[in-house]
Amino acid sequence: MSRPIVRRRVTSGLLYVGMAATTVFFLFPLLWVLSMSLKSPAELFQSPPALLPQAWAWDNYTTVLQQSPIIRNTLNSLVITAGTMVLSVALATVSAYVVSRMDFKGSKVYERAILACQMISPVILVVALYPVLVKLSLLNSYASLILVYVAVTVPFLIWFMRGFMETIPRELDEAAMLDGCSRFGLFVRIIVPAARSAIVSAAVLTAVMSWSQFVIPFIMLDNSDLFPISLGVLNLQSTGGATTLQYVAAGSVISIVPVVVIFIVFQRWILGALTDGAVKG
Amino acid sequence: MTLTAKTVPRTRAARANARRPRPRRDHPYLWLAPSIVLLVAVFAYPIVEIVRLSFTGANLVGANGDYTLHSWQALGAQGLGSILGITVFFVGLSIVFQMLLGFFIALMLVEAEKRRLVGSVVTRTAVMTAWAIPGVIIGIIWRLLYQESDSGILNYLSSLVGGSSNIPFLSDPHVALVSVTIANIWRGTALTMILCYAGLKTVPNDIVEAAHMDGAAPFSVLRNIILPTVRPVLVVNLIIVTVETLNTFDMIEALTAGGPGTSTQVLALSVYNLVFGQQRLGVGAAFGVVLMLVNVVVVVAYLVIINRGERTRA
Amino acid sequence: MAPITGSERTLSRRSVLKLGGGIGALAGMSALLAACGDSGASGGGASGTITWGAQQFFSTQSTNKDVAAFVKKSLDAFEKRTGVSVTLQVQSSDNVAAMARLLQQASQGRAADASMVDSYIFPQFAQYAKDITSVTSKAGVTVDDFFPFFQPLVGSSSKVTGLPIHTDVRMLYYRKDLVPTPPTSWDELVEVAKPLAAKGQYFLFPAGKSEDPIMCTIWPGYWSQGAEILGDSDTLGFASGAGHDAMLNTLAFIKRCIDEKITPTRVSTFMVSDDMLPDIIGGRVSMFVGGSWMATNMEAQGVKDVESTWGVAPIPSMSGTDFATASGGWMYGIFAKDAEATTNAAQFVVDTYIDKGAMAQFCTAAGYLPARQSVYESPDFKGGPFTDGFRESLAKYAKARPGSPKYAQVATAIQVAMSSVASQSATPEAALQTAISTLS
Repeated sequence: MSRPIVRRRVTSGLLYVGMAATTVFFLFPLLWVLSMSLKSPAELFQSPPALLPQAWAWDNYTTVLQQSPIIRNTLNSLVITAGTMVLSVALATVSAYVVSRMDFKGSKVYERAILACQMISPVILVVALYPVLVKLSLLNSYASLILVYVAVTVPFLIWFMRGFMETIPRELDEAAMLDGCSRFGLFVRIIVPAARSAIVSAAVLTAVMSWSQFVIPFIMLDNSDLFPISLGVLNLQSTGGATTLQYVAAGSVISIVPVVVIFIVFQRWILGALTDGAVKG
Repeated sequence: MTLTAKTVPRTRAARANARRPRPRRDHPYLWLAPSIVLLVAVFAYPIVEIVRLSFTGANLVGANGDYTLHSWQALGAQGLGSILGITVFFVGLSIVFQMLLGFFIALMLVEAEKRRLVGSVVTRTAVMTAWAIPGVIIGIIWRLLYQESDSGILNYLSSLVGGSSNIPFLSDPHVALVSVTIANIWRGTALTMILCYAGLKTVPNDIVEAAHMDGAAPFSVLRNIILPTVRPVLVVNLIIVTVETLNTFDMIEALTAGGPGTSTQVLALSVYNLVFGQQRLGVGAAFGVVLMLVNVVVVVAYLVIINRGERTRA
Repeated sequence: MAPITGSERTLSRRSVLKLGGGIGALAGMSALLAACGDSGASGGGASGTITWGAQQFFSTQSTNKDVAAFVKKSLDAFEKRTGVSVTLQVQSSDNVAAMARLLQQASQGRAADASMVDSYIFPQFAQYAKDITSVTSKAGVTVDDFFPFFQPLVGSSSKVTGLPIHTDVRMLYYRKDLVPTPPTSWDELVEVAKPLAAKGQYFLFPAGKSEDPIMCTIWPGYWSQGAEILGDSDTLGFASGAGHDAMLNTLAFIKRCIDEKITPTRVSTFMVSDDMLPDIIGGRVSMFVGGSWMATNMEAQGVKDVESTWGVAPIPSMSGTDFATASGGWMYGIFAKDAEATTNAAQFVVDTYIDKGAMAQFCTAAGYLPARQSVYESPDFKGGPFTDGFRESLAKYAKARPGSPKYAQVATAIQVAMSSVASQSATPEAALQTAISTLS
């Protein structure tokens, strides 16, 4: 065998080892939760712990699905996430484009302000906003919740998208403008398609960030019909001392499933988006 | 250009007009208006309000709203010094390892995909799933893993491979801080990985291959070709990870609630605990202001260092 | 520059269409969900509807099917009989924060008409809670039927404002085969525990940074020395003098247990009594201090013969006499705006949780101790193995935490002190000093 081939194989082997180690590190806690979610109460605290449940207690899932509003919570999360995703990505794409392409007074200030917004912790935000939202009767509504989600995700997205905008060759803009294309036309017909990969990545990032939000809905929602999944799973924990760990585990698994499905279904897009990259053009 | 065919200008005059190198009249603020309105609406008031509240003795119900410096004077007695130290450790280690891990996992995935190795999808999904779980749930999960005595799965596994079955993951103050940091790295690596992955895809393949052909060592390819290309991504990454980690507390609240003692009490958790646990809005707000200042100081420091670096390289 | 080819563009357009379709569907669903969400969002007021704020475990959405079934039955009967419809608003189970938020809501007049309140914080809600004497007196609920520590929270015979549902109490649990007579004093406890601990069977108590641990581990020992948490006008009971010594003794006892190796330092990670279960199940425990619900949970988790293997006794005190223990539990308060909603909300709570038969059935289903003493005699109530022992302690030794807003700060400071000592990161003296300076 020639040396390059040997080297290739060794590298591939190393890559496999690395990927396996990474997968184990990241997957193990999740598998452990999955195992917990299928254990009977008697097995939960065995020592030494059993890796797999002896009798698969599917009952934990039926209990959670039937008794608790976890499905409703999941749907709520989907709606909030979708709303945030659309608005946030749209705003970020426009802003990133403007910042990367137009020279204007105050662009530096705008960028600094965006960065500053990113630095405000959600706790601070909701503590101060809560009384105002009460006065304006904006509590307990998807719309105000989504707007706050958008506000906390959009600064990061602008940053993220800006980098991609820089990689779209300006020659594209110039050629289009020479042809008399308006700024808006240029944006819609040239920039958005060219940045579509970044847009998909941004959408995925926003989705994940909205999915895992906790403090904001915790403060902004009193009406439990609107609770997202993070609050729903937490509520499976009993406050009166009963053991509900298996239900919390089952709830956690249920809350992860949509995310994993989205990752897998959109795999090609995420992958495609990131591979053919915005650099093409 | 296939694209431009669709946008043929209607008149000769228009075309001539467009060709003339005259600055276009753009209206950036019109474009930016929606985001500016939203961000001002959501952020401006809270920033002012939190500063105002920090100079009051307000409680959660809104009583005792008189102006006082008491909250600021109380910071020391509330353990600000040790809280800052713990925050620096937690955030510092999280950043370093999240960035390193995230970058190398991304690099690995890119290489694996180039070689069409199977399983990269599984790896990527595993890493990303960790990031998509709400922090409180992650806290609960890791509390189970870290259980002490051999009922805990990690302690049990450690005893299987000949290690101690009694690692004080959460009961020893120093170990607890490390444990919390590891859980946070587990959670946050995906963000760095996603950003780096996107960045690595922009590394020109032909140059890397040419370098390999010339017999360049992998390390020098990494240093001389890959790193310079992804540098902007890494900078954005660094800032985002820092800010995110500084402001996070939900996972720690569920994992240790800041204990034992105050050994895992980070700044953001203190704000939450003071406001919602102890109903002390005034002191909580003062901690909130400190948290904002820390954010600003760190990010400004980064920008200064980065700009200086760029200047010296130029 | 490579042109974007036609095929790529159509691909992208198709994907965009697909994405758009998905988003459209979600938007439709959003409108639908928002519509049915709004119907329940308004905070009562309109006659014929009341809002009901409850912890999920106590509600129709409980993961305990018996609880869910009982509450559902009672709710249906109430709605049918009165024609009033009840809307559930589940409270967050992060209960310290949930109570802080509820207090905010109550102060703004926005709390649910009937809201569950943790008993320790109820005094802060008293000013907002409605007088419901007319409903309770008709139902035959009297103040002195509740356990003594609950009575100030219920109100007076002429003005009832709070309705405790259930209670709990902290006790010493001991293995009868290992510990023939339960120790009464700290010295005795150490003496009994030492040889057992040498064989790997420890004395446990929760000492994590949380509320249940200080109720098990600090307040009983502190109170038994005659000290109070807060004096008149919120002065700190342990800042100086006898109270200071009492707290120092209590913290020093934790250190002693650790130093004598009868207690492992991992107790500093136990946030609730239940965190001791793995050790109990694993046979590594000779005695522990825990909440009354532990008996039910031990049975549920597969500990065999709980009644014949384990016994309960008052928590040992420093002197071996003057026992004390800490009790809590959930209550209901009525925060409706108008008289009609107030009556309806109170009636619903009484029917479902407070009436003798209701409390008996609810507490049996949940495995809880009833808050009313007469319920223990009810034929509908089936207690656990140690109910008699619990009841005796509740009547004789149990105390409630102070209702002042200051308590939340005191509790946090003491939680820190306790878990610092248990994790050996501070001496009792230093930990107490830090606590006092945080609170000044």
